[in-house]
Amino acid sequence: MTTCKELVDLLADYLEGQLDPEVARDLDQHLADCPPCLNFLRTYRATARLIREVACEEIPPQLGERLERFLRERLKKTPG
Amino acid sequence: MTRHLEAHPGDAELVERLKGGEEEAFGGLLHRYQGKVYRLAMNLTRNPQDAEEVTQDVFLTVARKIGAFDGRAAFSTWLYRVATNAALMKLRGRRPEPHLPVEEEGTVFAPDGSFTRPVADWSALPEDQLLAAERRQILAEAIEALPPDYKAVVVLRDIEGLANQEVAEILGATVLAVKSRLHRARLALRARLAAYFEAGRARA
Repeated sequence: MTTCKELVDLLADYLEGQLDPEVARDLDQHLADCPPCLNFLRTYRATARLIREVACEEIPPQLGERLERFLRERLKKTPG
Repeated sequence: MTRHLEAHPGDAELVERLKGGEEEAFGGLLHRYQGKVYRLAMNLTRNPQDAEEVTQDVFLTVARKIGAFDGRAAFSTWLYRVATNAALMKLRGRRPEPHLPVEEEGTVFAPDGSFTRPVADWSALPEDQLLAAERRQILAEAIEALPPDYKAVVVLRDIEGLANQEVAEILGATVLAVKSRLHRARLALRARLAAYFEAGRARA
């Protein structure tokens, strides 16, 4: 019988469909009968989704120009 | 040999031209990847100045050390490795390093393997803007506090969306180690969010 701890240990592989089908079926069954584990699975999945939400997507407007100027100077001074 | 100028040469072609001393090829790689490298560095360091310095260092390395790139991995994988290492150097240079514990994972089990405390479901989150901003702040701080090796996996897998295999190549780790670090980091972050939401529920 699968325990809650075993389910938590296998959660990442379970959500990515990377488990042996038999093991996955055991977890399916455990989840159907265990509300705490279902809540754990939902909040674990939500965590992965929320992590994506905090990503910094902004690039400073003059980054490219500053970068090119910096590289031109440095590579001119010591090319190799 | 005459080189055929394509409108959108692939990375491999630009790398070959750069190795042959073509300055334009360097410009091509710079334009293609500067934003990606900056964002990766920014997500790892959470500091615009560090991120910009990392980006500078990475492209200096591309210009000077492209000969060291042997083409066994994709150029983007090599570039991400250089960028991740440079960003991790910045992180490791910071003192003190307050770390979110990833060993205990914040999940406690009874000897029979069942949970010792109730597990609340806060996954259906209220889309209140103020709450969302607060939640982002809590999570950003928790990611910031992860040990660098764990943070790198979270950023490369969950933010950049790269596959386990590529993350393993970038970090010079095994796929198993990548999966284990990602899982532990997510558990630690989940525990931090759970504490936040449960405290909110107690207040309400």
